Amino acid sequence: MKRKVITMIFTAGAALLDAIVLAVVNSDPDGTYGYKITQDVRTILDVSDSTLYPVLRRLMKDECLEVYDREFSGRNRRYYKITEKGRAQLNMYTGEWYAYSRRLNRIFTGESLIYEGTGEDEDEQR
Amino acid sequence: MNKDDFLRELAAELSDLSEKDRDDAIKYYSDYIDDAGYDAETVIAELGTPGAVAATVRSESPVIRETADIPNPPANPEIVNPIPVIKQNKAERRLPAWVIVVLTLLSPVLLALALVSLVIVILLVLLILAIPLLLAALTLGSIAGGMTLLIAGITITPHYAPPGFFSMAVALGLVGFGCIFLILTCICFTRILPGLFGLFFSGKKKVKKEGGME
Repeated sequence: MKRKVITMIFTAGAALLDAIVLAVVNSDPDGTYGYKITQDVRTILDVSDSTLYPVLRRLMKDECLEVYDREFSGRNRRYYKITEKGRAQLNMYTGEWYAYSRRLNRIFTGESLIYEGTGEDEDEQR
Repeated sequence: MNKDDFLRELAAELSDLSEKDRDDAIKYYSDYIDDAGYDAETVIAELGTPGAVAATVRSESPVIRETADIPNPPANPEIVNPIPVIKQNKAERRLPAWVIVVLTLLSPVLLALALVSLVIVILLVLLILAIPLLLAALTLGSIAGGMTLLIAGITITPHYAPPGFFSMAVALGLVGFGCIFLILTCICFTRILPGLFGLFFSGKKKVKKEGGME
């Protein structure tokens, strides 16, 4: 199967991957399954087919995700669902990302770094 | 390689893991092959050899393919010389022309408004600063006046009692008022003023703290 190749100049660290996977799983209230998670992540990151399993396992170990099996076309499919802790973690990641990207944009657009603004984004970090 | 062979070999590669960890991994890849929805052999070929998949399962973080062929800056003149790009960005950030025109037309009104607000703020600040001073003056006046009247009363009483007693009573009343004013002044200086200063300067302090953090 031919997929659109996502080019990655910037590498994603473990935290960003955790955040992306949490966001993908969170987007489905009933939870979602491994293949679909991989395909969703692949719309933005070039991860190879087999590689999201360690991320899911780590998030399960940290109790950010829980699994359950549900019948699907004659077999049991494993679903991954976000937990309360996972949702809190995702909120934290989202806030951090928002503040971080604002600062990055400020550098890229050549705005002064000393500019304090209204202090909104700095407040959000805390 | 068919699905059963792949999973069997993967299980063998992961034989050192706990049973639960191994089963979880096998379940994940078994589901993955089924859910891909196309020919299992192709999916397995894309997943890699059982050994490679086992190495992935063991690894802490996934492998993200880094594209070596993408960073090719000389092909793009804008990236070779970043200064024009920045200039362009700054131009884009400028306000649209109509906003500038409206602001220019409104500028006398805006200036007047700004001046008036500034004056009002200064007056308010002076008023607030004047209240404690007024209280202090009242305190001083009442107590000093009271004391003078008291002395006068004491001096007059032996000669002419009624006005002497009267002035002593008034004097005591004045001293009483003086005490009340004194308490109010103390409250003003210890509670209200620091609170006001806190209000005025907290914003600045906050900015300073954030500046330190950056």
